[in-house]
Amino acid sequence: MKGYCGKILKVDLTNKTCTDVYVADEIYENFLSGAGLAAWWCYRNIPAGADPMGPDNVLCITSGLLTSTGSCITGRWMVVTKSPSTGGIGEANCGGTFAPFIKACGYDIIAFHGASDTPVYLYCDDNGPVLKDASHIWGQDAAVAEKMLVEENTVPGKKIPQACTIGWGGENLSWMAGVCNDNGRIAARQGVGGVMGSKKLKGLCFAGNKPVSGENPAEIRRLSKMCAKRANMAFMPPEIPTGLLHVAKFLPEIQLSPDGIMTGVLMGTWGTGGSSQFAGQTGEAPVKNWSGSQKEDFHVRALNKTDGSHMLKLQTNRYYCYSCMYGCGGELDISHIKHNDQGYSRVHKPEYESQWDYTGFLLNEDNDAMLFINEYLNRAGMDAISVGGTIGMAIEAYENGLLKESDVGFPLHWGDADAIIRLMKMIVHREGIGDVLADGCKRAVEILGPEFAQYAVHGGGMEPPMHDSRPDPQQATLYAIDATPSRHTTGGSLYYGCMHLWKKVTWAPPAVLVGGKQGEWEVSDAESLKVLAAAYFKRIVDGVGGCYFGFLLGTAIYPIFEWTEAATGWGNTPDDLMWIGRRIFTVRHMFNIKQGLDPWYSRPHPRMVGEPPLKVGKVAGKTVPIDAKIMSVWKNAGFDEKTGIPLQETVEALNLPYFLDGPIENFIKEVPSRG
Amino acid sequence: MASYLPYINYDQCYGCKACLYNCPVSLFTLAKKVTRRGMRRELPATTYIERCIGCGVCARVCPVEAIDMLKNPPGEGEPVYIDWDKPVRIDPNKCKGCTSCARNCPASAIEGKVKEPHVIHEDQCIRCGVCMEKCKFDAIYNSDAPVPEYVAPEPKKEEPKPAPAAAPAASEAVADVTPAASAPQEKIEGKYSIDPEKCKGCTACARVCPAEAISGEVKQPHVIDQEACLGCGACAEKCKFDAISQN
Repeated sequence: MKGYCGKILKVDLTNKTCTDVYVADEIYENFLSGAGLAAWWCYRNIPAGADPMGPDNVLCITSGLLTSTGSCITGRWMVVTKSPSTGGIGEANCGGTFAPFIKACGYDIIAFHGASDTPVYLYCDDNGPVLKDASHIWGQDAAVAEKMLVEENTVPGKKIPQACTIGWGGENLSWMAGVCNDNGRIAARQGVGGVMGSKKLKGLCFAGNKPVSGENPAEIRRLSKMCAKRANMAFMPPEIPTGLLHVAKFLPEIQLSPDGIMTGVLMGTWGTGGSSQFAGQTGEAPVKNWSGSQKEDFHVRALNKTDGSHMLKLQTNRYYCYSCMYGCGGELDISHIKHNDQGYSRVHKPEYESQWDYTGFLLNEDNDAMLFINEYLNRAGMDAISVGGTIGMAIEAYENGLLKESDVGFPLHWGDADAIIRLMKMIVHREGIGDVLADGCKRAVEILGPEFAQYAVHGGGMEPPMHDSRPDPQQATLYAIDATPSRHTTGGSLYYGCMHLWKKVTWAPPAVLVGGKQGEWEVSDAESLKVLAAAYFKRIVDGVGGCYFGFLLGTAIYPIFEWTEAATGWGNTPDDLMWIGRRIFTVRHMFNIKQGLDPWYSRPHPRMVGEPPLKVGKVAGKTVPIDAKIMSVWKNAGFDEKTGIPLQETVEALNLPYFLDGPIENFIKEVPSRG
Repeated sequence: MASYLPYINYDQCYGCKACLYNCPVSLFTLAKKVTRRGMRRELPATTYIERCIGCGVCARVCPVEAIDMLKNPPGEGEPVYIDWDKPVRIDPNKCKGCTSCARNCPASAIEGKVKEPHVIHEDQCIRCGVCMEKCKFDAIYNSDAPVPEYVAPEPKKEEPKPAPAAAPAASEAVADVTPAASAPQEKIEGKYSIDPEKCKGCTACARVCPAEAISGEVKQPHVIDQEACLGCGACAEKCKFDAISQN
């Protein structure tokens, strides 16, 4: 086989039937598998104007083309659907262990159509898929539910199942809920968990054994050995204090484009949470709901109290995601921290996003509070980034008199760890003002009033991550032009510098290896092509199941193009694969337009682009010319510069009328599943 | 134990757990190991090796070839790997219906009655190759060639029963002629033998034996001819008195 299974499992939750959908090879050849195939399926199956929380929405859970073929760092799984928070295509991505289990059941995507009237979960093994009753699990948090699903389906001596579940957030139909796996890892963004909850689908539990392989396993393995050798560089002892990274305060002026080994060392040693010292010092990390700065508001003493080295003291072990050699994952023992009224003990180490979102972003110096909140949100199955951004809005509104103590129930101040924890719990359980905030800050503004909009920092309905776009115009533009806005995992200038795409893709402009960043504020075709190269490349990575930290190693070390070719034998050069990436990129935009979104909807909140500019720091006084940047990118993507709608000639060059408008029977064959 | 068992080379292993999550019998768990440069990590270990069915999936999914399948017990031969792109099928004309493949299939993908041709359900088959290894009749193949048409064998003609022996003269001192008891056959490892103390002589085993290696009178302890025995285990599976075991 060529890495992909060739089948989608279509589960009709309304009628409780399962159908094997055989998909034509040419779809895979033009959309890859994973999130690319899912984008095509969602475009074809979600009608215009569908209610994201209704039965017309389709929820796709998928893993990539390269998963389990013998490649490294390609074990990600994705959830693709129509997002309630943006109104356009929604996508969330997660590591952990679930990805290979989807393909081991013989499917590339599990697509849930309709909605069930009672709680159900999907079980699948070598005998086929079956929907089972989940009422006894409904109401449990995501980690407990996963354990229950695995226990009740484990057969001694056979493969131990893996499961993914939603938590309280998904059950409460929150637009900030995600889907969890592996005891609290989460595909968090864009409310995909809320969509799953609206279908009364508690989880999936898989234990299949179907073999998966690429066309040329020997070549895949050769590439993997080369990659593994260079990826596994984490030999620095973790005792080295993260305080050494104070040197980072000099970095915003200097563009560094190492080939990602530096990230390998950081990830391998500290995990992503180790970057907070670096991020705080460089201005990478937004402070005080994007209204402040580290210099003014979160002094180095506070930064030292909350940086990654504190987490590492509690670390019990490291772990690796499926097929990964970095091992950036880790587990902590938090049984003795303050605030732990739930008795949590062994938990996942927080990622940088959570780690900063609940410390510097909210001016909180209480590290224990951050650890507790991270685990609570993992159990609840909710997006730490969005919840943090919404809490930031609430605190700023309170501090500026728009919210009163009577609205909230208690005082709400910057840095007040107890209040932040209390508000977080109310959001999870939709209590009091938590019910208003549970769908994100954009929705909260619709309920509370337009005067709150100045504090509701979002782009297109998504709260941005802890990567400040003001010192990074490339990041700002990517937040704006991706069909799933405000996600940092597509790239930014530091990341583009690590990817080294120009080594493989003929039209990707090179980044300066060491030098000033001034050029990035200009509006030019070269800058726009960098943005588009990163955006198209991310579509390929999501089609094959690759990890963001994988491509930070650089395409010379993380040979995504070569692996894909070895697995499929399609005769594609890197440029050909980027053309497929461009096709997927364009389809996602067309999905949004079909659902009635004006492409300008994702223009970032003024604070995200320096309107008004910061007063202190490396980018004081600078504003990102975001409108001009967006229009330049659209022009280079073959879209109308002013409206952002793909031009007809682009659509035809990508052969989209054939794939999107032709009868779907040309591409699929449906057979009832055995089960 | 399986004919081939996995051995992990920890100088090469990076802990990605592809083996652990693809093993159909969950024989791997994480254990603290010391790797290159003296690093301590939790890496996969063959904790429940006795469960191993020798399918070799772990060795094949490992991205860095850190797993070798070694012959157990050590000896000649390379593991035979299945071509995953081709189905595994049973030729009904060679199949003796010993059920050995069905009993060992980790995916429960083989169906068939005793002494009747078995069939593999291809959409359930995980292509691990264990059935091919177990089959003593060379009936299982791994290719796209279609399953041959089944031609039922001719029913065997009944042999005429011999006339009853003449009663010996009452006066003749008849030496206690017990049939020259052949010396009990030496047990061959891997084959099966019957415990005469437990055997009730119900003949069920003799009736299922595809090699016709079991002999005995009704209600008398039965004996398995070690040379003729093929080691398929159908008799042990059938016996209700726990009288048959593998040597």
